[in-house]
Amino acid sequence: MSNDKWSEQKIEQLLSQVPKLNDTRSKEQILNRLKEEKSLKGQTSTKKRRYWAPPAVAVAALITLTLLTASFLNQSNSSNESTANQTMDMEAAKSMETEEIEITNDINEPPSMKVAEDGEGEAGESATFNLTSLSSGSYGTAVYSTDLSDDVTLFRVGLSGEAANSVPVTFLIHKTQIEEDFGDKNPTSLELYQMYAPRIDEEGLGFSEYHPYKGSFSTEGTTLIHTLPKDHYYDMASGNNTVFTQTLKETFQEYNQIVFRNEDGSPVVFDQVGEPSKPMNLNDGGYNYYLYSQSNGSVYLTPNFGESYKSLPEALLQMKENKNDIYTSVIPQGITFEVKNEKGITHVIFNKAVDLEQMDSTTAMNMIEGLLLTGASFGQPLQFENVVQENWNNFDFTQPLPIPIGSNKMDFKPLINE
Amino acid sequence: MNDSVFNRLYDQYHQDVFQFLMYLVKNRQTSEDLMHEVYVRVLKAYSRFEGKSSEKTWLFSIAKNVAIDHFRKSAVRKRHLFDFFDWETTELKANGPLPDELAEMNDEMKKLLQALEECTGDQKMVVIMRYFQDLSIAETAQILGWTEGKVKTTQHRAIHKLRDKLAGHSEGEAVHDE
Repeated sequence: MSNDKWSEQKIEQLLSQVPKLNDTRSKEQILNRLKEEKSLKGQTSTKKRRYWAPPAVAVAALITLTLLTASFLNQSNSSNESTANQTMDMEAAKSMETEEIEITNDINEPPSMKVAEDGEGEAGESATFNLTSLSSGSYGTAVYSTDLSDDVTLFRVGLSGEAANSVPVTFLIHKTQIEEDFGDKNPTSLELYQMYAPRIDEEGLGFSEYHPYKGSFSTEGTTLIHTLPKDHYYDMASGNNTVFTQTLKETFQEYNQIVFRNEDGSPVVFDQVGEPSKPMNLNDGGYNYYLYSQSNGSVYLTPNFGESYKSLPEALLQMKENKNDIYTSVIPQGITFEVKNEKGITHVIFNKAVDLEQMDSTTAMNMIEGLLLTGASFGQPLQFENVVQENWNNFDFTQPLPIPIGSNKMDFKPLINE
Repeated sequence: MNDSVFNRLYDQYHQDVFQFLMYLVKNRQTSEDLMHEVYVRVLKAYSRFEGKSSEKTWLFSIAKNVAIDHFRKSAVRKRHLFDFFDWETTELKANGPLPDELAEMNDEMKKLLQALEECTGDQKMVVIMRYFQDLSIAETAQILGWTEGKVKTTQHRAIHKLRDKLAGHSEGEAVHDE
């Protein structure tokens, strides 16, 4: 056979003649399978029952939300415009849901992250729905200690994204809500999860209905015990298993490890692993952060499918690479940097002067916060060098920048209990 | 679930999207599963579809993401670790026996599709979109989030690579035959 036989023209001609491949199933078969799809069932009859709020409450909530949103937008710079905060719709405020969950817990566990309880804050304004109000120091989408008013409790949770991935978000829950639900008690992160996970409007935020987890939780010191029912299906496919383990790590990072048990006390055997599960570390960290977009346009800063690194410099330098189709680098084209450790502080040294005012502000903020979150995953602050501005959006580049304490900040708009 | 949206999308695009998945993964059962996943993602997000792209390119871009996710998960499963998975530079190789329709093709066509499996992911994707699905350069660029220039270059390189691979096969066969 001569090489001439395979001319480009011939190849193109053949490519245009490939046989048609049809789906031989009927439309009804496909539709019936979709109707069995659990995550779609949630669209018409969600896991929680919905109730309409009394009209007066709904109106009050809308007014409050409008005031808060306007206030928040005034405080924030334009960099926030494409972020998740603005994709939250008003539906949650108008509807109310409730669900019983069967989760148990132990009191012998680490305390949740709780900011100072003193002070009045802005509770009065938002008392109707106990929405969190952000302090005037708010910027970007990451959460910093300076970003919080006196009366806010952090509730971190990994939500289930569209790409079989986990998206770490940080809800800020106001003191009045905590007091209403817990009284004077300082809830642990597990108690926060048990109280609020069923009330997150995951679908309204553009995520899959995933929480609360099936089964029950208890604790032994800093170890979390997850007792799973037989039909948990968290191991049905490798994607399910990835979402399961990564959301757990992002939700319960204040615990050291998690143990999976069957209801008879034996260790769970996940199908994707095929052997009795071992305790899984929950707070390893070591992630770097990328931009992840959902189909509704919401953009989040998240680790790349939970891929972790041994050293901060390596994690930072890898951030320039686009690893896959799902996540994109926060470092814009043309920007390069080196990483050095000086006197215990990691320095990100841009090779050419970076003028943040000349950049799109969202792009600039994503780059800075993506780098800072990566540092935070190693528990370290970063200092930037060769930035034109000394101060920009509350960042003081003359010294190490603050370590974020959470990513993808969101107001908590709870689905209201019956 | 919105049946009327499903019915319309099915009538207009189902066979095209299914064929796209079939040529990517070359397995009917897997294609059916991926098609299901495409519908799940589309129906969940449909109310928020903003019309910035055409419905057709939006549907194909979701199908492309679902397929790449499938290849990524397979790669992770094989290696049992989270290696980097760059679909553009990695081969999106479909393993396993060919579906009946492809198994019955003539030798030339079989060799051509076999050579396509040895192209990089970006080349395979562009060839399937441009030649098998008859998508325009603009549509392909929109689905992949690329510039039209990148689509043209990738297509050009794909054809070159196919020619080189096939010529290599022919030479090999000729030597073997002798």
